[in-house]
Amino acid sequence: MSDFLRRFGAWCVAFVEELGRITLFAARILRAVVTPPPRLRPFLDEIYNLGVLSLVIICVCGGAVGMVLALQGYDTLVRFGAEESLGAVIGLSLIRELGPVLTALLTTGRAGSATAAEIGAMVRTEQLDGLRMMSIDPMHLVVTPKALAMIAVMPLLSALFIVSGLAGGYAVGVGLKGVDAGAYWSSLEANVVFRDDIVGSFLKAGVFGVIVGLVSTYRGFTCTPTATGVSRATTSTVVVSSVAVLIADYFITALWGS
Amino acid sequence: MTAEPEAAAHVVLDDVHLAFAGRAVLRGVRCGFPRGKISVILGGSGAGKTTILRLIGGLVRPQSGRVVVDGVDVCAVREADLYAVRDRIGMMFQGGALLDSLTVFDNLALPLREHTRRSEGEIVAEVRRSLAAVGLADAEALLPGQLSGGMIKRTALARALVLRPEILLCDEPFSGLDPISVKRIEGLLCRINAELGVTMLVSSHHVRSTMRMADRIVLLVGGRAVTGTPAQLRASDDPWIHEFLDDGDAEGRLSDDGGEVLEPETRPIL
Repeated sequence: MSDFLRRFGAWCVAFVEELGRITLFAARILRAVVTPPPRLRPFLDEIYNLGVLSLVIICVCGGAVGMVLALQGYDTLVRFGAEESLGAVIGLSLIRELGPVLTALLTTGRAGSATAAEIGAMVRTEQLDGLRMMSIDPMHLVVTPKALAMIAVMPLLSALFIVSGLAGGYAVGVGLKGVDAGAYWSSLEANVVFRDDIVGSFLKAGVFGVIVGLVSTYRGFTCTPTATGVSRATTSTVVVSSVAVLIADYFITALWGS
Repeated sequence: MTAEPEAAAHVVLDDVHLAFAGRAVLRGVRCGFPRGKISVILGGSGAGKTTILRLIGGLVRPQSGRVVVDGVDVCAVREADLYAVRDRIGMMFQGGALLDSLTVFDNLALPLREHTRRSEGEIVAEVRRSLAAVGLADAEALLPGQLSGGMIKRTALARALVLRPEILLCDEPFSGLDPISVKRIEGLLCRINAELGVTMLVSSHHVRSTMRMADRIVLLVGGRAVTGTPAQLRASDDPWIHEFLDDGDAEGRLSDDGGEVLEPETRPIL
């Protein structure tokens, strides 16, 4: 029992230390944001890498989720004679929950892991040390544009996911199941509340962007400079980001809803 | 031969101790690197040659001791203040450390864009001059992944010199290269030193090149430094030093077919 407590205590201490380190890392990013010169070009490059290159996967997954929601939702609603509310069910599911959460998970897998691997590879091949020796702060040139780009693209990708989902739901609900097109859109319009739903959705996506951006850059920047170290950084980025997104989702939903 | 740092040296290591994961790499290293000369840090694998260069650049900090670069103890300044010291240092990394998302041209242009107020036209001219000096005039559009080992070394050398540093750190510039490339890099380093007067610190285990180019040798033995000119080390009574230098020579004869330095270009460097 005492051995278990000792190990649990050590784990808790290590966890708190890691939280402290990641908080300091976030502070360094914030300081780099306000330190001139602004890194507009690297930021735009990262918007392209993280955002534009994720468009296809976001659209495809959003459409597929919307189509599944339409199938499941229609079968349930039709039992209560409420199939005209299909648009509201799909819309609210996507806007409130599935859009930001699934976008964050997909982006973690595609862009977050790539970010950690890229920075980790730069650590391993001494590229970041090379920048330091040229008196260029790698936090300023490499890390901060990637983290900021992740924060910027997440709400936009989430919005795209939601729109794709609504389109997929429309295709199945209206095209396949015969729900009235006007009823689909009007039920959606009538039930979506701007502050609670739209603003809350963007808030979630923004927070998830912070989480994924911070975790992926931190894991890459602090990885052991070996092939295994880079591999571990990439894996832990996906695991830690995904778990953190789901936990944060609960708290944002609870706090914003109340 | 001596194990003491000289007072007038450009770079001084004074009683430096450093261990990685409990394994002592440097055990009270004391040595000095004279201004404007070529100093070669010689030693076996894992002896701490690269570590000394990284200590001088402030990339690692010792457990104890001082590393003084041009009068500044780099162990005593904050990371942010190290950049003022690094402005005077150029470093050629063993693997090049070129940014693999940038072309050769942009790798050289980056420090110029960051630290000078030169126009883009001036930067283009400077980069092309630097690339021509290392024999890479036709490689500016290539990415690092498209370069050979020798080309990577020469690009890294050109980048390290593009801001005209007072001190040039070269980490294993001859490793992994064929004999012709070794001589080409060796010739470049000698000409850079002769024409620019740069204080040059080269880590190497290539004994023949070291004997040809070094003004001073710092030989790392058991975590400590033995310093002297090539002739002084040759005259040493220490059997380990003899064994290292003789074996290195023998190894060099197998991989290196001559003693003369191949000059890649005849025009002035940079």
